[in-house]
Amino acid sequence: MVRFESVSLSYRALGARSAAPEVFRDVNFDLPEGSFRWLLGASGSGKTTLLRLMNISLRPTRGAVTVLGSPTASLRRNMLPRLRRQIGVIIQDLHLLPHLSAYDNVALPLRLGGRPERQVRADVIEMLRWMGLSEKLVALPGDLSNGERQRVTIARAVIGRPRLLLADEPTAGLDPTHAERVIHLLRELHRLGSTVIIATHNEAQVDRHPGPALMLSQGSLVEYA
Amino acid sequence: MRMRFFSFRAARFDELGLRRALSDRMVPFLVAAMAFLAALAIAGWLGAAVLTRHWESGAGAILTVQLPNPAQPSATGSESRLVAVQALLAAAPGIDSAETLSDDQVNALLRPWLGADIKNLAIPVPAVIAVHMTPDVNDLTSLAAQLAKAAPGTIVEDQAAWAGRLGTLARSLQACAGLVLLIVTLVTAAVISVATRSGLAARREAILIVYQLGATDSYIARRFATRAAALAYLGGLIGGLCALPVMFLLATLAAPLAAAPSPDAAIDLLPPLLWSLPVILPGATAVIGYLTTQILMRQWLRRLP
Repeated sequence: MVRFESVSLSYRALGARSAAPEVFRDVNFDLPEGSFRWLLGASGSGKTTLLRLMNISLRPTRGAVTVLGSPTASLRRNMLPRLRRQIGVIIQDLHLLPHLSAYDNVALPLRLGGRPERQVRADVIEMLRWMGLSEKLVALPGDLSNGERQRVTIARAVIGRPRLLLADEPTAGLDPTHAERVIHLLRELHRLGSTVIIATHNEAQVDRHPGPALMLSQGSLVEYA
Repeated sequence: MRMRFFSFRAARFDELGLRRALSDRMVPFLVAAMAFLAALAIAGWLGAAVLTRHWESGAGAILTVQLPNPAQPSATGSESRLVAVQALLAAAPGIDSAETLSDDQVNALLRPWLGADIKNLAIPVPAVIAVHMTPDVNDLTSLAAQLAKAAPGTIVEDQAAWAGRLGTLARSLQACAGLVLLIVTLVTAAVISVATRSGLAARREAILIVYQLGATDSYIARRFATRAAALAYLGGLIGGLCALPVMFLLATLAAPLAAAPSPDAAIDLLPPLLWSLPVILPGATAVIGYLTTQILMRQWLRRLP
């Protein structure tokens, strides 16, 4: 499902001759289909970057990344969108579209996938209801609180029941009740067969929902059962 | 609280916010100006073509034969010089018709120079034959030689020289109109290109998000191109409609040059293509808008990871 083989990544400054320090060094892991992992690490340890490598919005400097069975290095450009539509992403820089309502933001992945509009409507209304946002269907992101925006982002990521879900600090900014609901939702998605990776630095949360984890520290990755 | 209705129909779904990013003010206005110029250039091109055809098949195809002493015997001696020349013209290839002007017609032609009392003047007046030729006749030398042999002193005046010069002038005008059309097309593409780049800058983040969510290059490019084509179509329609009254005025002014009996007849003389420009121009500007935006967008999207 997701495999990293000797993956290294460094950001080379434009015009710089010397090699930049590596963010990752020889990272190896293999997640089978339907697995669940916490991705742990301090702020700035590279959790988001690792998720971006899995989302194919970054390419490694060295090594091979395989996502959903497709080696990203040899992936043809026209195959990328179909692959991405099977990946749900909750990443901080993947904002909501400010000119679209909460409903339209959540409907976006389904519409891009060509889902019939009647089905889109039923799924989106149900998802937003479950997220406690029934009253906010027509609200623009600018009119929502941070927590509400985060819940809309999560709804958008999970609405298409993705095969792979990458969540970067999904409960950041949420009150404890909604945070728990979100974690339950992601675990439920995993139970239904999706591979789920949740990056967090919130150890208390991991203690409440124990599970296998990947630990990022100083550019290396360690696996905990 | 700012609120809007969410769209249940995907057809109205503007996920990239292009209605605001590609403004419906500047682009149609600029494209309309270009379409207006294009309409004038096409009108000039077609008008010049019509006038060339008219001159070459009209004035350029008329030959004037002046025959001194028409009643005297011809060189062969069996008939008058006039009859001999008429017979030669009737038998010559490429002659459509040969009409000998009556005395009254010749007098009418000479009256401006010789006055109304022309019949009483002791000046020998030559016979004048107006010859209409078919368009395929190029060589008049042999005909002139035959006529001079039968009736020495016969003068053959052909108007092809000045008609040819007018034709060259008209073709130069056509070339200029073609050049203007090319420049207008390039400027239209440039206007669309600037608008697209501006829209790209305004909607960069939205494009990246939609792209990350699995939109294909062709989907994003098509969204932009359809919007640009719609704006360009509107501009082309406005420009084409604005050009109509100007073309009507030009056709009216050109009527005497085309020897049309009235301005209405001059309008009939111009090709139907000219009057269908308000339909053709929007289509053409829409195609330019669509293709320009498609090319730009695909180039830009190719750089994304």
